Amino acid sequence: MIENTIILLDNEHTIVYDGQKPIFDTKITNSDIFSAVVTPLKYLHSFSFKIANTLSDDELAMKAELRMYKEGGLDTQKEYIIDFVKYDIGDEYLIEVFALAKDDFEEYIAGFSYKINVIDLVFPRFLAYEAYYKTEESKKSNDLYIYLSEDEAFGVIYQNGKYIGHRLINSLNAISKRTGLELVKLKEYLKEKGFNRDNYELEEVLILDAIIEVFSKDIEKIVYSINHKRSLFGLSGIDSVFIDFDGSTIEGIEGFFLQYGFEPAIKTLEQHIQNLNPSLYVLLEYVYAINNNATDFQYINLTHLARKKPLTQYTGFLFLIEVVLLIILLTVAGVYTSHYLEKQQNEISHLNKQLKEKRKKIELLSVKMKKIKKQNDKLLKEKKEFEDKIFVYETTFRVIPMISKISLKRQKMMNDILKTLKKYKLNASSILQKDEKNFEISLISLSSKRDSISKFMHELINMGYNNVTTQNIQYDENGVYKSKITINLKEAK
Amino acid sequence: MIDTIRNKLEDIEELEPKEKVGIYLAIATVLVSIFYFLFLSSALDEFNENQEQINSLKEKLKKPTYTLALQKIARLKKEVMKNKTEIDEAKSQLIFFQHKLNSERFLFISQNSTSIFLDKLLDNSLKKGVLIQAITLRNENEPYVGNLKLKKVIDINASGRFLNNLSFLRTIEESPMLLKVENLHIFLQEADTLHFSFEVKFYGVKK
Repeated sequence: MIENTIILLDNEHTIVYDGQKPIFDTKITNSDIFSAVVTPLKYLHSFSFKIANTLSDDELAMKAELRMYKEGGLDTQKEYIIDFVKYDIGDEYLIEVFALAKDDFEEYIAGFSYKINVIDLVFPRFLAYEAYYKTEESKKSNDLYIYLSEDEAFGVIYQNGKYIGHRLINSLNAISKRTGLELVKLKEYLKEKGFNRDNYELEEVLILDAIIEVFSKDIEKIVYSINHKRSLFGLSGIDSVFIDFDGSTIEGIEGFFLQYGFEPAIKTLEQHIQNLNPSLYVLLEYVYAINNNATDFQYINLTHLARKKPLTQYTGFLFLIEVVLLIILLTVAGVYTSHYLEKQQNEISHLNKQLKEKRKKIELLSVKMKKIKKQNDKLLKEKKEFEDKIFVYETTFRVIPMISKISLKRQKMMNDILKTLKKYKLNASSILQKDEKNFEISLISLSSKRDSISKFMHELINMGYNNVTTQNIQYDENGVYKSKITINLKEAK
Repeated sequence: MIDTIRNKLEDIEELEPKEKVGIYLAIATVLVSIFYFLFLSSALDEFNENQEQINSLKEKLKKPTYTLALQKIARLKKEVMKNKTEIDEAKSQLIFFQHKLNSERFLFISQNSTSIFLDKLLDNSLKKGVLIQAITLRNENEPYVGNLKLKKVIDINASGRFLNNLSFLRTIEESPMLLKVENLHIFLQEADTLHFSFEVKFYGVKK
């Protein structure tokens, strides 16, 4: 939306206003500009009621809608846009409800020379005069505005710059019909001669009377409304009456009020912009003020073509954003996780490859090792064979001198035994020397020297023959003792 | 279409703030749960399995099998060299022993050496006054010790004076041949004749 600027739409014109200068009949169809339409009052339904001031605005809105349908005479078959203004009158609210049928308004804008998709503000003209009160000083008066146009007319009461009520009166077309005076002529009379009899020729007096007859009844209705509002709002009187009639005043109109005891100043709407109808200026200023957050303005909005929020401003869109963001986030997380898992798989493949290579190398080494081991085993076997052979040779060389010495040992044993035999003067009937260690001797001893046998044995034991035994010592018929002695040399000392 | 969407969005707009917060949380919970159950949980399992596999593989790679194998090969090679050297030394020693054994000529029992021995035996029996009554020669080939074998046994029966017999026996034992006297039996027979018998065992190697 173009900031601050507004566009006022009617069936003939589009007026763009930026707070400075209006531009008429532009081809601006920019739907971003704040747009407003003044609803014809003939389509407007209104109803007033009082209600406790403890209710919230939402509750008031519900109540207003219900009362409007029940008591305001709305057609339940039609769809209405309903809004209200509230007045705090002590311990109660006075609620003035307005309703606009969608069909009626559609019918109205269908007559426009251009198509309208969006209308930000639909309001009745009588609320627009609040824009007229721009200073605090100007708000210190109670005023009546009388709007007269071909199609509609009304009187609207402002107390201290705030709208408090309106009353529809006969439009110029209606007056024209009732008086039988042409509309153009009627306007001419009102603008040029007003209600001052002195301005009329004698033959025109009847026309004036007919107009006064209609108009006086309208003023009477307005005065009735003023009196009604007096009791509700404590309205002290009317200070000024503003005539909103194509920028003209109506001469002699004050006479209608004098008869009801009012002496207001009769004024026309002040022209602020050259060549711009003050009535239109008021509308533009009102819409402009509302668009620029003049929040203290009383206004109702009866549009059913309100500007729709961009989809992006809906909470649901935020849900969608959340979903998309989460999906993106989770996708990123998923991609990262997949990437990491793939990285792990690559690492596993790499490690497996390394392990395979290592195993292959180890297998090669193992084959080589087996070959070397086999060679070594063969060498060990060969070595063992050589060692065995060497051992055999060594044994052989060790045994050869031992065999040579065996003769000496045998001779020594023989010599020892013979020496002992001689010592004890013993005889032997048989000597058997089996080898260098085993000896058997059959001794013969005289009876008188039989103890020599044992002495012989002791002597040999003393000489180191540690196993000297006999099985028997036998006495013979010939008077000798015979004994077979066995001598073993187990370990020579 | 857009109007339908807008209407739905309007419906959402009319929800209570608490309900909106609930939807925010529900969306996050549902999406995260779907993500977790459909993907993340299995991905985490896979991650753990992969990590275990990686650790296991690293552990296997860390094992010094290859180095140990190299060291073992080096050790075996060293051992092979050592064994070869020792075999060479053993061969040399064996050659030396063979040579040494070959130089011991008496070890090779032949007909010639036996006849020389018998000549000397008979000669000595005359000199020592011993009457040889019988000599029996017997060839043997029984293993004895080392390279030595019992090659021949000579049984001798003789008679004579006791000391002469012993002296005769010593002359036999003084032979350069590798021999041993066993089963020497000295006994008296009728007419007071002293008899003796013995075995002479000859040891040698095959030439």
